[in-house]
Amino acid sequence: MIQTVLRDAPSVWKLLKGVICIFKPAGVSPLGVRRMLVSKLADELNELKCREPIPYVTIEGDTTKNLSISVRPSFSDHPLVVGPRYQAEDIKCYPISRLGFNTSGVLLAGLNSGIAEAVELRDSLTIRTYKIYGELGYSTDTNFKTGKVIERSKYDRIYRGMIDKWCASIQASHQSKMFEFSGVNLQSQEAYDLAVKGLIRPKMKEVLIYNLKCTEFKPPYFTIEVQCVNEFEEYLTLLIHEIGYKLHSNATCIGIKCIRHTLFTINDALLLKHVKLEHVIDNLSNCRSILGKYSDSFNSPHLVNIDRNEIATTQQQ
Amino acid sequence: MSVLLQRNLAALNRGVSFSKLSFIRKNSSAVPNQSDDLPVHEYGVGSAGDRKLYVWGLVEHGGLGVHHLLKKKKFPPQYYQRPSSHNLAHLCKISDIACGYGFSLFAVKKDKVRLLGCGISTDGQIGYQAPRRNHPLGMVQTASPIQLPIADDTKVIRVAAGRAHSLVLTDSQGLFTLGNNAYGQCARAVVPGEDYASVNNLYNVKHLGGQRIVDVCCGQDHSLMLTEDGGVWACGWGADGQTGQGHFEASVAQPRAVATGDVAGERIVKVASKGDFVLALNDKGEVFGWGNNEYKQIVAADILQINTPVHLKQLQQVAGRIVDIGAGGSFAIAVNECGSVFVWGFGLLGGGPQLTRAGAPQRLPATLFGGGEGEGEVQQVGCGLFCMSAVTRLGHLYMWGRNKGASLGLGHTNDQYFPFKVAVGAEVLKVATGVDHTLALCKPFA
Repeated sequence: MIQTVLRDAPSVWKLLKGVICIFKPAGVSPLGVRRMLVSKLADELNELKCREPIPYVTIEGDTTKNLSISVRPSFSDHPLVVGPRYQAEDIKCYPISRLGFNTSGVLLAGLNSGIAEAVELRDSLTIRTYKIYGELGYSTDTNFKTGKVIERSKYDRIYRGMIDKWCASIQASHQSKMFEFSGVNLQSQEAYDLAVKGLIRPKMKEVLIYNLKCTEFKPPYFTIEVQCVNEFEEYLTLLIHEIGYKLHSNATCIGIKCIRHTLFTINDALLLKHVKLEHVIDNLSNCRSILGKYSDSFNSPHLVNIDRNEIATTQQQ
Repeated sequence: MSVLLQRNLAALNRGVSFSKLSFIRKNSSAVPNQSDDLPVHEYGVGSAGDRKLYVWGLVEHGGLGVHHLLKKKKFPPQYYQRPSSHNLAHLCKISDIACGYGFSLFAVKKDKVRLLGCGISTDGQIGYQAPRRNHPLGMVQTASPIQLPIADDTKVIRVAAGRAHSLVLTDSQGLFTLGNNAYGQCARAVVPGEDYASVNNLYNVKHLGGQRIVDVCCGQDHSLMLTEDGGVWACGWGADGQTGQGHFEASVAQPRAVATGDVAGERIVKVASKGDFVLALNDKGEVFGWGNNEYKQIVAADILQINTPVHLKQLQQVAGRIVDIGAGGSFAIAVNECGSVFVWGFGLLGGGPQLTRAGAPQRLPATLFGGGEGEGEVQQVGCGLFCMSAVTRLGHLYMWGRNKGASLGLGHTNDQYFPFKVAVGAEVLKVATGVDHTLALCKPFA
């Protein structure tokens, strides 16, 4: 079916709407990813059979005699005059995650009329899962490996249990913070009912960590897996810095990868080298089916309980 | 060879994948040449015996021993609403802590000092604290040494504190009692009209019935001792039957064995009491109780006072094998071997604002203690007079109940109706709850 559709650019254009899941490489900003995506899509669309220029009717000749009427393509609508049929600016694309410049991983974006849906997804404070890679032994001025080294220290007495304990402590403290951010009165029955059910969404735009654990420890390298909302890149790099500081040493973030955003895993993400029309349309329909599974709690207001599926850890990298 | 190359080779030997290393070498400007000139620091890493002490609650009576922090402040705070790290743990090695009614005791080892105390001292409960002769202080704001007539190599292994008396257990020289003895809670004869503050009254109990004392516990005005063979001995105020002697006599001056009723022949491993009833745990995980039953904190029957120990059968049916117990003012708490917490009695039990009275043990959901997979597993429980505490397997402290003097440490003075994590930045080993202040002895994470 797609094969027949793909010959005709206007029908493909009609399919280009919804939420798209892209793999953002490190070293590019989300807006850079958007620029690459839309320019590639525009090029691909222009290679298909585009709309012909509108007909231009000319009535020529001596008005006292029979006039000759001819129809020809209008130059005012010709691609050689007005440019390619599909311009990059025509494609609306809005990335909803705040993945930083150095972060790689799952990036959700709304495409054309799917932007409204994407914004709704953004506002429902969905959980993202990150793998943060850290290195012990030095710290930099930016807390990322590209910064200037400002301090070095030994790390040979650090063992995995120390990181595990701090992770558990930070996680438990954030879970009690959850109530402050949820806006309920702690003395009420409502607060108790929420507490019994487990994790709740915050009402404010505050960083909240739901799960934090060390998944790999090969000194000086270690990996932290974190599930959180409202986070930003500096917060995650600071988290690694903080852990190093608490362990009486130094630690610096050497990489951040978003491996999951709500139900969208890294396996659903489209690589930038695979941005072709057929893959994009496949990706859009895949995302639509994933969003269908999620729609129950997706439309609910804040302060709903978080689906266990949403914070389940992915086994894949 | 550059430092980077050395590090990469070292990392390669440890089994770090090559792709990761090449990535670092390519992109990293993190190890520029000038970083070679930086010195490599070695910050201290703690040893296994390191401890941290956190204190919170009412400051005014001096039970927190934080005078050194506040003496220069124009307006010292009335409460410490959040746990505050105390420097005592860095100055000496603390092995046990206890909270009484407005005073605290610390079993330490520093030179010849084995015991420190601070707070209210109206009855000599923290020893004879008199900088001027014949003018003993009614209140001591800083943790001060308490003189014990013991040999240099004797250690204090356990301290316990009641309303106005203290018990100090040593490893080789028996039990020392100090403070108020109006009802014989100091295990000695009651002297009418005795002024407890003006004389240095220390009483020594070498052994009980020929058995070494291994643990002590203080109720409001009674004392409980646990001997090596698993026997419980009691003395002090017994009008509610809390001495377990089969009578309601107000005063029991000599420690007597609690050997009647269901507790006869059982090997008791822990006793808990804070107010006017007692819970005891035996080696099989069964719980026994005696004392006040006004709020059904022992049995669900309408009996106001129980003077003979009874087995809490209902708890065993609901919870199975119990590993830790706590007895508060009008409520009790227990945790079973699966880490589930059970509460009963009257008060803020932790089941929300609606659960204030429970004749039968009520299970608190594991989600309240951090939930998740194996994370809400409670290992240790305890009771203050008005609040309860639970420590999870990972050493996180949860507290709930009446927030008298901000003793819950949650950053406010409101009551808490369900378990809430207290922001203690270390692994909690022991919690001591007084009436309006709390101490936590912790192990640092690193």
